[in-house]
Amino acid sequence: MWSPNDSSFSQNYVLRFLLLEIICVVLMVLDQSAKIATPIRAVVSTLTYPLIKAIELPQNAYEFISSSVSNQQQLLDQNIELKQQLSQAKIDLLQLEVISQQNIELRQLLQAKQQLPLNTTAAFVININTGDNDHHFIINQGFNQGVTIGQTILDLNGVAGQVDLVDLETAHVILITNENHALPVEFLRTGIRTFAYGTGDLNSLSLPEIPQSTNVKTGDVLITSGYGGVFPRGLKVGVINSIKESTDRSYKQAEALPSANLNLLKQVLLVWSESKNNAIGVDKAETKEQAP
Amino acid sequence: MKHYSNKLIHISIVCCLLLMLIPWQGWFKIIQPYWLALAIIYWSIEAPKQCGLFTAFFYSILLDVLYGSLLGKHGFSMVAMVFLISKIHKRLKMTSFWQLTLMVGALLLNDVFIRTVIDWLSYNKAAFSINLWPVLTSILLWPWFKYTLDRLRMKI
Repeated sequence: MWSPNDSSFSQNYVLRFLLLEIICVVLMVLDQSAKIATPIRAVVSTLTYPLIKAIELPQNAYEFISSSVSNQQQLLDQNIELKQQLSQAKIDLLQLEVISQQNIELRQLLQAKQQLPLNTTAAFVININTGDNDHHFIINQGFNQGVTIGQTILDLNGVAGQVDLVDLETAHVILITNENHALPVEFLRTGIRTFAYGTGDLNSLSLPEIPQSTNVKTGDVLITSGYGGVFPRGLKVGVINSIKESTDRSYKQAEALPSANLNLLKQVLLVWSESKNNAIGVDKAETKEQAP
Repeated sequence: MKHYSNKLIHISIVCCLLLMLIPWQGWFKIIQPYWLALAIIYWSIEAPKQCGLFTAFFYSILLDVLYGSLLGKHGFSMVAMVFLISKIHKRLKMTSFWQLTLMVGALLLNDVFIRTVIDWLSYNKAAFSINLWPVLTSILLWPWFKYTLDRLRMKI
């Protein structure tokens, strides 16, 4: 009969315990390197994916039922509203087209590098608990779709975050408002570069290191500066809503309101860098050739 | 020692894992109990041969991947918990119901403490912060949890 206090078993049991604890410590250390940790997560997530599906299923069913029983008048109203929004967006687009054409011509005159349009794909947010990780969420695209760590995540209104961990069919995204997140930003009006740190509050970013000599006003728009190479340049981040001096008067400090609607994220956009997307295209073509 | 149905053990643990994934909002998120730890404690007291170190390790790694936390964080604390239970297993089987509940509280506290220290060491959190609400709700839930599983165990 088994008992952990049996002398014959005891030593064996302690050894097993130590072995597992050492494995855990090794895993924790290896987790710092994405190259090793991602395959481990990908393998384990084949087992966890059904659990995520099981949590998602009732939510999807609820949404399906509530949309199928919502009354017709509501849908008609919504339809009219959306049509109005679409026509407004089309008019804006017409003006933009002229401006972008002018921009291209000006850039040619200056012989400046052309800015490539962003290559994005849509991803859906999976509503699931992420434990102690505040300001995290999961999207339904992962390793199989070619998602990589550090990829930028956009909302329709601005930058939302970046990919933190990649599983097989899902990926964890860290929001720009996470306490551990720092984002290289630039003031659109003045071109001053600084960092925007997360505060742990969905409606606030903090910029504690603005040089004292610079001109900053409330209402200034922040865009990504592209420094560090993680986020592409020129994406809208937020708007400054308060400015104060640091306690030792060496810096100006500001708070910004993120443009992305971080409270109600349902659908997000994954940004692909040009070269990466081509590489994935090649990979897929190759695997297709190998398959038969 | 009795031999329980492996199916019941694993189904109950998976159900607890699912309960941990429910996306509560606001206060419910903060006080969400540690269902998985409760299940592991229950089965490592009742059926230590079938739910031992490896079972705890396996399910904790699944939780780590699901939560996107540091790989092995929950594994480390949960394996330590099962080891502690095996050390005091005979006493746990003999104690009164209320004492057992207190013991469960102590085990969970230890579990939370280990994970907070790991968080702190790995710079996952900006400050050393510890949330004790889940421990409280888990202790409050334990009697009902044990009763339900006891009944299920008798039937199957």
